[in-house]
Amino acid sequence: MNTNMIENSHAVVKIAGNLDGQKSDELMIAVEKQIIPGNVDVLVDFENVDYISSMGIGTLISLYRDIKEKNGYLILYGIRDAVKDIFDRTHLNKRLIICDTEKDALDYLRNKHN
Amino acid sequence: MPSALHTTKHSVPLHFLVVDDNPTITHLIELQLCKAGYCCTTAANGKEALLQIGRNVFDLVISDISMPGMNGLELLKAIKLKKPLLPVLIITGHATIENAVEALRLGAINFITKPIRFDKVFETINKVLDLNKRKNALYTAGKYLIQEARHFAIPTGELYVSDLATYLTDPLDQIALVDTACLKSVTMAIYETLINAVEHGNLELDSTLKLSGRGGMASFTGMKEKRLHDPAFASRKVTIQSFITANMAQFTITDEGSGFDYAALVNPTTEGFIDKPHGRGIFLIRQIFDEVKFNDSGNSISLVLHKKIS
Repeated sequence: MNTNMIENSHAVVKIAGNLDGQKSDELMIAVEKQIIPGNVDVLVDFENVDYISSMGIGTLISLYRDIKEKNGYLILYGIRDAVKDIFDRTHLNKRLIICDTEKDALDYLRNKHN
Repeated sequence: MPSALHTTKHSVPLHFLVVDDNPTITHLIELQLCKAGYCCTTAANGKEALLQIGRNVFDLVISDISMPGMNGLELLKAIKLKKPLLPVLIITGHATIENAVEALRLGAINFITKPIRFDKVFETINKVLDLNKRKNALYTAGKYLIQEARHFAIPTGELYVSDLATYLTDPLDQIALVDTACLKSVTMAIYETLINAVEHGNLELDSTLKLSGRGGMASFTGMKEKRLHDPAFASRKVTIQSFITANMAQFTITDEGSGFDYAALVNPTTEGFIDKPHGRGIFLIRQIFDEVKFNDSGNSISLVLHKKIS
């Protein structure tokens, strides 16, 4: 799990491989570390995720709720078709903020904070 | 020293991971292996090596034994837990019989001493190539499979869920029952089923703990580790029966737990449920398999998949 803090305003977490149970634990720890006062916006790069397990979905929902409570945004981008299909079938596309690219995710944040 | 480029079934050069805290050594090994036509990635310690193994597919890991933090033997142990089939060659500066015996006992494919003799390294590479050739021969035969029935009873303490899910579903790719994209979802659905059998079934763990913040996750992981080392739980078996033909695949997975009430499952797309982090495993399995059935006590699930490629 590769995490970068950008200009102390938001963090980008890159996931490599399938979001199974073990990767979900890593994601939870990586994102929780980034949620500090003044910085609650987290972007998650899904470009290399082929598939997501139920634990991966649960982790995203938990993180979404935590970050929302702190008035921040959890944004996912670069999602492949197989993962998008799971988000559609589980209706998570109605909850999670999903963007095509990192640039779109940053534009979304800029709009919300301005 | 091999002069030709050695290839696997997908015509990709063998990919090695070289681990040593001394960059001169990793560079020397990398140089020799690249000259022989192999592809190399290097890591400066055990932790970095494990990260690389999570990201890439390697054919062989070549690791020094003494490194700060996680040493070569600890790395070997961690690799055998994550990827039991990945061969590891251990290199040591101080040859002791104890080290050699320990490395081989932990599952190293070979053990060599410094200064590194490359003929010994290539001897090990040839061993890996032989193993790959055997795998390729089986892969070719797999294309012509008419039917196959397998029956496993695996103690929970020795069940590596991710690798086992891949192992069980690999034949579906060989006989072209499903395409590659669909295979990934089938493998993940089997992974979900096996995780349920291990965590809910045999280890009797409450996975809702896992998603109740960092404290919950730590207590879940602690309890899981404890039970995996407690013979009363670890010796309970997961039984897997698979029956594969050219047109269908059936998997029946049974644990020795007390079962669960499958009739009480709620459709997770119901309004009010979408924000809950739990209860999607069976839903996802139902999206992938054509038939999903439970036995009465709820400790056995049977999954059927029909051919998806015409």
